[in-house]
Amino acid sequence: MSSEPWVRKYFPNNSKGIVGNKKVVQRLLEFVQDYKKQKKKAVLLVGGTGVGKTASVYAVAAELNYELLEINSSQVMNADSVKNVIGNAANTMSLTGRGKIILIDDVDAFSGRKDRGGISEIIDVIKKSGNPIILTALNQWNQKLRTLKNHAEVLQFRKLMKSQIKVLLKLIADSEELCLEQGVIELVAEKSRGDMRAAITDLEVLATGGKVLQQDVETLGYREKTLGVFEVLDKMFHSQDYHEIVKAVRNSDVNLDELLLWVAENLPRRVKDRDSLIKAYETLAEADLFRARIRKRQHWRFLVYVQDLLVLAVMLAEKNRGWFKTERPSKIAKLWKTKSERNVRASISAAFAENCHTSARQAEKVYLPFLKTLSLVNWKKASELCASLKLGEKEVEWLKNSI
Amino acid sequence: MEIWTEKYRPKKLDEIIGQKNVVKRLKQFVKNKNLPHVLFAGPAGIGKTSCALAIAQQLYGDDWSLNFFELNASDERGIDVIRGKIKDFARTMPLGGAPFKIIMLDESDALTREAQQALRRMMEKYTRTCRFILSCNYSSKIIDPIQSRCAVFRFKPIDKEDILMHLSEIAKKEKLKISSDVKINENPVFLAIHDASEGDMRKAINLLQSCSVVEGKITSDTVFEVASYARPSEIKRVVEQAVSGKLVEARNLLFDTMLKYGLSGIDAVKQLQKMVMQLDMPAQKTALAVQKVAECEFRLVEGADPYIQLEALLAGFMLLK
Repeated sequence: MSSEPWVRKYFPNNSKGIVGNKKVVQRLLEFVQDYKKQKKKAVLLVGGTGVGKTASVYAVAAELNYELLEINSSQVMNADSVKNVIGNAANTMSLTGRGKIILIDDVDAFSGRKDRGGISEIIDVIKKSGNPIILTALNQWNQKLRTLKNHAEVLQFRKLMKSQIKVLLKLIADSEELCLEQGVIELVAEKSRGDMRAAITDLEVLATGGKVLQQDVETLGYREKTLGVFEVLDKMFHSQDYHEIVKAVRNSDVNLDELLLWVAENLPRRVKDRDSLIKAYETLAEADLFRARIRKRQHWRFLVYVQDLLVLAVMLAEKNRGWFKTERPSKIAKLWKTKSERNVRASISAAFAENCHTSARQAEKVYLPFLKTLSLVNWKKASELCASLKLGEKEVEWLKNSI
Repeated sequence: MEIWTEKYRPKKLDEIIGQKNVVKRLKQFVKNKNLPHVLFAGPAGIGKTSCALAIAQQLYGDDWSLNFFELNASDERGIDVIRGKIKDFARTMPLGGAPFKIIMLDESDALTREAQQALRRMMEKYTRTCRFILSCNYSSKIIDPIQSRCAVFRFKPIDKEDILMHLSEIAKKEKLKISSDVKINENPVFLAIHDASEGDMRKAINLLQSCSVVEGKITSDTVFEVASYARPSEIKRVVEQAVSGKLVEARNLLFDTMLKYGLSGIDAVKQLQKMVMQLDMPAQKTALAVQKVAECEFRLVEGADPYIQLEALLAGFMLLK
């Protein structure tokens, strides 16, 4: 019997062998094969644990006979080490002349402090890379990944279904010649809650003691599952059990700041009547107020109230029945959409600020409307002013278009 | 083409409008060629920056800019600025035989507390070569140790008469077409500008210049029209939609508008407040609206998240129907 853990032993060596997420895996294969043609020079695989992100990369590498360089957050990943470890690899062929895939696992696990600059360095490497770069992350809404997502195509892996997990477990059971009581596979698959790695690990543990009975499965420890933002919201909007919701919030990898925005975004569609909605927003705004007070007074105990008020805001509201699509906070999307316009405004304002002894913030309120008025009624004078402020082409163009 | 706020910016302390007591003391400093660290506190557009610039010009003469460094803290508010740019300027000797340099730190209430702590050290260490002029809107946001190291000057809002007078002088110099058959303090154009600019001289002069580029004779209508360019018309729709219960639409429009016009949370609250007070509704509902808006603005000042607080405010507006 091989000493390799089953999770590794049964890593597929072919993209067809990946269970579930067919389209995503197919796209990943194309990405690596036709790397030169890709617009975005990296892919970001996102999805919960044990859905096949890393396994897919291994499978694709094996299928195409590529070398695989794997880096994960067990190493320090600050700007320098990223440059050292992958900066070179990104532009050199492998020694054997085979293609090379660079896999950076769990980018969302990089520490903000110790790994400072790591992610921006990765972006730099991506821009210049000659070899496919693949990143994985649990939660694509993590703030740290915001800029990274501009440079990497996001491929979302879905949770596996119980039936899909069962197929592979059966395969392994046959190949290892396990002696299982009827229903064991069903139970193990159920318990894994869509996490293939957990399922295989559990099966391996059970197999060490000869014949496996259903009751053995019960003895396995319960896994605390880290919940993603959608699952937490789902709990919040559907459960009426305060303790259950609090547990879901605590077990999630979503911080309260983010969660507040998500809740704010989704309240109006889900809450039934006017009064209930107003009340819910009042409570939510109070939660936010305590968040501000934490910052101001550094009194972290208030965090309890932020959480409680947030949970209660949703729990006590009369909600619509049925299923609703969870919307992501529009604030983030809007900030992105308006970025170039805001940049232009900022650079005009900065030019005024420099010439008028004031801040860009003030200038945006006072002088920018003036310049727009001027453009509207007298373009000749406006362009004179633009020239004396040394505004760039982009800025002048924007003014012209806004007339 | 010159920007009038700069063209008509006072060159000497004597030309500063209003602020009599402050100017009197500052002139004494200039006369003695000595200046303590000073803190200018007061709302925007009433002469804080102008005083600082005038001091520098009177102390140093034509080459004033050699020994004067101006930095706006609201644009660069982190500790790096204090440790970098400011330190670099502060630690070198003054040029051309000047007794000391001046660093003007505008809107210094925008500095983080960390940055203020660093600044406080610097104020002590480089007193020999350098003096600081800090300006702020709210002195409560300046840490105590800095306030205690500064002579504090509180700037008062400029009297209405003084603003009207100044506007009419500029109008005369620029040969603007404004009816002159009424007294200055009854002239509808100047009164409208004063109202729209809320006692802020920079805004007032700027608004006058905006009016001047419009064809024909300037009337109070010109002022309203030009001033409204600076005021997003969308806000009115936001309020209407919220009141009629279309919360999602109202919220999206508000956030889009804020981004489009670069409005901060507080700017948005101010606009919402003006708009909601114009609604035709019974006094009880008006009172409710005032309460809601006031609470929202208070929370934003406390540092709460503008998106969440404004959204809750819009939800509250649904009660006004």
